[in-house]
Amino acid sequence: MRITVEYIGFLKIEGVKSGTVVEFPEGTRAADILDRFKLTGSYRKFIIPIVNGERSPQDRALKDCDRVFIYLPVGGG
Amino acid sequence: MARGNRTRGANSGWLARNPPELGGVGGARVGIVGLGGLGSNVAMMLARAGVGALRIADFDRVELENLNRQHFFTAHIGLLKTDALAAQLRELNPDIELDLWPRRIEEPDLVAFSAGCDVVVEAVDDAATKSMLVDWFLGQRAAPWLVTASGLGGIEPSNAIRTVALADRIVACGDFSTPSEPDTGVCAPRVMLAASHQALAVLRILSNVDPALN
Repeated sequence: MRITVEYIGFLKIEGVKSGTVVEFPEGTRAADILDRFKLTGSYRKFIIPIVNGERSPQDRALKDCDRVFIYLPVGGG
Repeated sequence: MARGNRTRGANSGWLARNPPELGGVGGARVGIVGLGGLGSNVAMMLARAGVGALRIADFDRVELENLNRQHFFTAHIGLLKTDALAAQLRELNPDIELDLWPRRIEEPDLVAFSAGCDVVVEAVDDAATKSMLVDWFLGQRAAPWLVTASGLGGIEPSNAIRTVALADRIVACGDFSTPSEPDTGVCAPRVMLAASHQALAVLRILSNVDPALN
């Protein structure tokens, strides 16, 4: 299935610009996307996957044509 | 939003130069979580624009090292930030309605804290609480707007600070990259740039204008 992957700021995903449509197997969860792109540091627990503009637990299966915005807030205020 | 105009002299005097779109902000209530570099400055800017009611939360007291960016002065050192900020807000607008929460905001507090607010501003300094707030507001069907912030440290270029839509009724301001840590530091111009983005986003929301339209 095709998932549009978006992200912002200091997150870096090798070879995948924000807004790219990426092929994933059926049943892929947001957590699997984070694993595939090696977003596994200590900051992982702060990442919020926003799927089609809505809250989505990391272990929920995605659907074809979903849009996943990987948001990681940066400390400071 | 219309609860009557709490701002004295809203149609004359100190608000005479306000953009006409802000005519209704006197009847708005905005919640601000965190009164550091972002929150203290956002509060003052919203008060200057005539927002009639603010609900302000912070557990902390003013310290000397806060003064390079936070809207406090030496006379405030040692005071609760809620009290020190309230005094300044009332000096600006004696009729402003203030609800002080001198404590840390946790997830169980959010229903009560956001009740009656048109917008909530996330102005805390740790990523964990930012994440908690964004996640909570994402999960609500009828919560107020959230204006969050991410990335305002160092002396990176001003133009890297921007406002983006994260989701329905949630916008984020900052450069999304530069943390405020000991090695990056944090200074007034950049912090206040991010705070200005947040404050303007609030005013645009209150005026029914897309806050993330660039």
